[in-house]
Amino acid sequence: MLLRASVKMKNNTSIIRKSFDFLSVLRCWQLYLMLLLPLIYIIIFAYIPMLGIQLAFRQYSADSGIFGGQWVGFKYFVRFFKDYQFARVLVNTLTISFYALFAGFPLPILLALILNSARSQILKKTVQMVSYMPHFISTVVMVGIIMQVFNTRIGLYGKLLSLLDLPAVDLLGKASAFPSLYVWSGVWQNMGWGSIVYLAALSNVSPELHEAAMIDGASRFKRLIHIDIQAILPTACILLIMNCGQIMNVGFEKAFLMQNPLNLRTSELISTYVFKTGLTAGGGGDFSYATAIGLFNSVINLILLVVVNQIAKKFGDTSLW
Amino acid sequence: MLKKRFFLSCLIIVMVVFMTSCQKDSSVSTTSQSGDENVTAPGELPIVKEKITLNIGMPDITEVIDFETNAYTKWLEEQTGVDLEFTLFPANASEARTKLDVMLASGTELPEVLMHFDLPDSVFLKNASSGVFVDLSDYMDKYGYWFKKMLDETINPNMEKLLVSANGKRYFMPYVVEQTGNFWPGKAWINKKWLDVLGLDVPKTTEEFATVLRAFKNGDPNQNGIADEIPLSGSKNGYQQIVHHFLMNSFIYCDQNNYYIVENGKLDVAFNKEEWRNGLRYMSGLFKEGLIDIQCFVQDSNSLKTLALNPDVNILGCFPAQGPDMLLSMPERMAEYVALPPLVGPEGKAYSFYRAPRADSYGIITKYCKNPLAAFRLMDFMLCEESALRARYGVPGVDWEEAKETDKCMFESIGAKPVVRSILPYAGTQNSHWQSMHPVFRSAAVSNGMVWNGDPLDVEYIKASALPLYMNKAPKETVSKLLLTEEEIDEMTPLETSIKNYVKESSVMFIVSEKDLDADWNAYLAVLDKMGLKRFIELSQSGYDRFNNQ
Amino acid sequence: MNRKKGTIADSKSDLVFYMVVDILLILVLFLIGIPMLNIFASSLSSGRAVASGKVFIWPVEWSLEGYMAVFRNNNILTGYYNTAFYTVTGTILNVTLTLLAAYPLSRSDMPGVNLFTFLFTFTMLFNGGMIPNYLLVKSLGLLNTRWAIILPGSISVYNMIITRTYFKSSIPKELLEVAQIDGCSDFYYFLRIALPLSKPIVAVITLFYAVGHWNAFFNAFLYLNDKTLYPLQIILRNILLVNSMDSNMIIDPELQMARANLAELLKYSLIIVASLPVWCIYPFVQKYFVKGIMIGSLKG
Repeated sequence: MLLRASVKMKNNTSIIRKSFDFLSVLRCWQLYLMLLLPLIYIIIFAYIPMLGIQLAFRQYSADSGIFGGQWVGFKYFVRFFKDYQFARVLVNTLTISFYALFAGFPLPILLALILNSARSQILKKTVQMVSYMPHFISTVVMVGIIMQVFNTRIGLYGKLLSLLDLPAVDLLGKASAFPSLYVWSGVWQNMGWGSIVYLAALSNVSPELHEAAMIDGASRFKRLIHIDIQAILPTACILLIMNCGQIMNVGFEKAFLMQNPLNLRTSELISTYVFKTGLTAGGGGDFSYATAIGLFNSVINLILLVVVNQIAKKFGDTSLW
Repeated sequence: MLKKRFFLSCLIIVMVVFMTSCQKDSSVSTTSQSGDENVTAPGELPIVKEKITLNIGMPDITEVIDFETNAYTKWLEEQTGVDLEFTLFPANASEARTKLDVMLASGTELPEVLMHFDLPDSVFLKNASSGVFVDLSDYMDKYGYWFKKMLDETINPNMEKLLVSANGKRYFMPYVVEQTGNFWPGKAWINKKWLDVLGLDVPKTTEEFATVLRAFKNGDPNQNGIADEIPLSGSKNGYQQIVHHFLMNSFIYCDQNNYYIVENGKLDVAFNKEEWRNGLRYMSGLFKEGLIDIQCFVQDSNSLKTLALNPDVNILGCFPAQGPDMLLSMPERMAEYVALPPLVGPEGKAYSFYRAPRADSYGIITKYCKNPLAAFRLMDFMLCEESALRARYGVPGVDWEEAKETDKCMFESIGAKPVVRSILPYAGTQNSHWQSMHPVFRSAAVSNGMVWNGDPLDVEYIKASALPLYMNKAPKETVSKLLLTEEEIDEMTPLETSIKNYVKESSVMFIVSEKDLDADWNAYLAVLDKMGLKRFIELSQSGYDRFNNQ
Repeated sequence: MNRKKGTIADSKSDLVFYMVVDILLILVLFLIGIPMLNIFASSLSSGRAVASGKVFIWPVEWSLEGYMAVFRNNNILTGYYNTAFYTVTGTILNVTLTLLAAYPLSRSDMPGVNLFTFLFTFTMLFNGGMIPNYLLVKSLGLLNTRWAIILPGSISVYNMIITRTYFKSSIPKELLEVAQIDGCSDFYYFLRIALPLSKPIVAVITLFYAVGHWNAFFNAFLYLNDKTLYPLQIILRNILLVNSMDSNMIIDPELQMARANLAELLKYSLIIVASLPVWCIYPFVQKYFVKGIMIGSLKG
């Protein structure tokens, strides 16, 4: 049976009809051949280990290994949902994630746009080089820096506030300040590195476009809006969609190091909770439980990804699939 | 064509990589005589008649330059006739454990002997049926020579009990260090110079302590005209640096592990008692007056250290710690502090935290071991005194010497006699020993027998001489270890985690008044009940009884 | 409106615009540059000065003890060599696989393109965990070999999607149509036309993969036992002994204290040692982000 679908392409006028007829499949044989190697790779290295997810539904024991344990269905999920901390860690994880998304998403784009518009090559290159350096700071050192800087006594934060004669409110021990500290330090660290992709997209903009716009009398700002932003919009959309698919994946190391009894209300995340109950608490690693929680995270990620992708398809031309 | 050349060179690189990465065969020397017959009698050296190889898996120790050429390795190999090979795991303890867990779960062959992993009972019990860890009970009874000497010499009456798992088997050879300073680590240090400036004595009671702290805050003892003094601080997770752990001992005994208190064999917890609440009330009072630095709940040890090392002028009045080590780089400042003995509370209590002697599981034999008896005898040999000295101090004559009659002893305050003078600095890069990361028995005589060089500012001496102030101030009954079955551990683990974390969090919130000790106390108790506190205590009691009744 | 060609801004709004741009860039320079200067300075200061918080943006008590502590370890040189090896071979493999996947997926005229894209994206979301991956590597016989570092994680779907997006949006459809009319095969089009036009994105993913390899330690930590195969990061982590300890787990407080002191000393110099090579490489990659790659492609 023939299946026809229309696909509109951006930046052009032609419309290609896609049909599942044998001829078009044959015509693309070279493309399939190219795809073959990567496909084999992900089947072996991604899909085969993925079978291990069934451990979430089995009771792991040392004798039966990860495929032989007794089937327990949703026992571990129920255990997780019923846990006293469940609501708290879920809310905290989502809060941090969405906050990081809203705060962290625009800034690399802005930085790329600004860098691209700069006229002084020296300034441009210097800021570029400097801005991506923080990306290489390890988490431990990063947290050390945060604790140092925001110390009300000896840190930059405290010294600045005393210069301005303001009372130094302790942020490190404030539960309400934790998400901001966590997110903005992450933005600081990754802003420069994140702008690289956008710079690459911007470098592809033909100077003729700018020249034509200048002849039409557009100001530099207008050119930024209409040319530069258009150039990075596809990349930005795709990255936004993909980031939504990572929403539950807030790593544990940074939060764990920043935790203290006073901010635990907002700093206890799913990942730190898993670490505390799985590792330091005496057992040989409750793999089933950890796998179940991981699966829960993945499912939430998938749902959000699909939803956002659908929205993107409806409102624009760029989407993942 | 450029593209063709590109792909061709890729292909070549890939082929070269493939060929060079094929694993080299590891040579394993084989013995003609079968396992047990090859082993000599207990206590005899060498321990095998024909040389064998033993593969030891252990986390990498950064300080050790090279295990193969290490002096301790060489000495072991000479004495025992066993050739040692090493499989090194990541240096970070939890990473090494993770890797071991993955290897266990995937059925991968493990090294013949595992050292330095300190596996808890739960791991032994969970893997009991697969037999991956060898039960050493028979070996201990029939072939343990230095092992039995250790049982005789140890000061720990519970030593034998500590070696047994809930299923009655014994899976490891222990790491035992009986230095008295490790048993009473909960010290605190107060600035004597400031006390002198203010004309005050070292406080003995909680009331006096509060007065002193007030004087620190208001009396400008560092005499710089600014009220920048911080009377009392600590860190959120540094070893013995948690402020409320130290102060709580003036109200109720504070066992830092699980806050247990025991009376007449009945086990209970401290954190739901009125005394605990009184302790929190005292501390919250101090906090309201600005005498406890809020940073002590927030900062890590490094930040505390930075505070203590404040350039130009000292601003730290008092802090809990095992010793004033963090001030090592400023000896004159370190000399300003003296030990603050446990304060006597309003009910006359002045406890000191007792860290019960332990036996860490540093020597384990896996089922992949081809010569388990020889492996056992090797670890048995590691428990002898010469091994203990070499393991801690290094090569005799080079890294350490025997003490002379006239030498002074570090722990003279508790009547110890000098045994060894250390030359090689501890905890620097070396190739003389393995940092004692293996079964070892360092008896009290040896551990406390370090020679003192006479320098009153030697930080080890300072710690050692302060020791009598804290010794023997724990309740008669304390919890050494809980012996739990596998089911009990499974049930206990989530309870323990959530309860402990909740207590830690709430205690601090009560102190800084984010929770009110009158209005919110009952809610706090209610949450603890809801978390399963009763069951937690029951399970703990079961483990306590089982341990003591062995 | 007529405009003179040249470097002179023509209108007031443009002047304001460029001024704002410059101000913002300088702001970024300070916000990021000052803490980085602090790190540099700390790595060149004595441990004592760092611990007492004296260092700001210039070294206090100049000292190389931080660096010496790092290089005292014998294995650093092997670590560098191994990491260089893994980075070069790994990146070549990564980029090749990524391009081979990204290009076909950018062609919406290929039947099943959405299905394949979903297949790849799905792997970003679901992972079997450490044990299944370990079992896989073990059963492939890759444990404790260099392949265990290079093969797992060879395709980053994230990078692949970025590349696909680039292909889709930056290479005009007209080029393909023209080429197809001329009878050009997909292979030829890919190699001779699409790829040369994609230098910026190839540069970007090369950079991403290379840096990923440079910073990687997880595969080595899990799959390697042989010290001679260790990449730099494992050795550095072993030195730094990253560990926030539960008080109860401390078995040797004396050693713990000494290690904490050493870690404090090392942590800044470690950042520099680990990152310096990458900082040096970036300028070479950067030249591919030059404007105007597209000039002449339509006319040619």
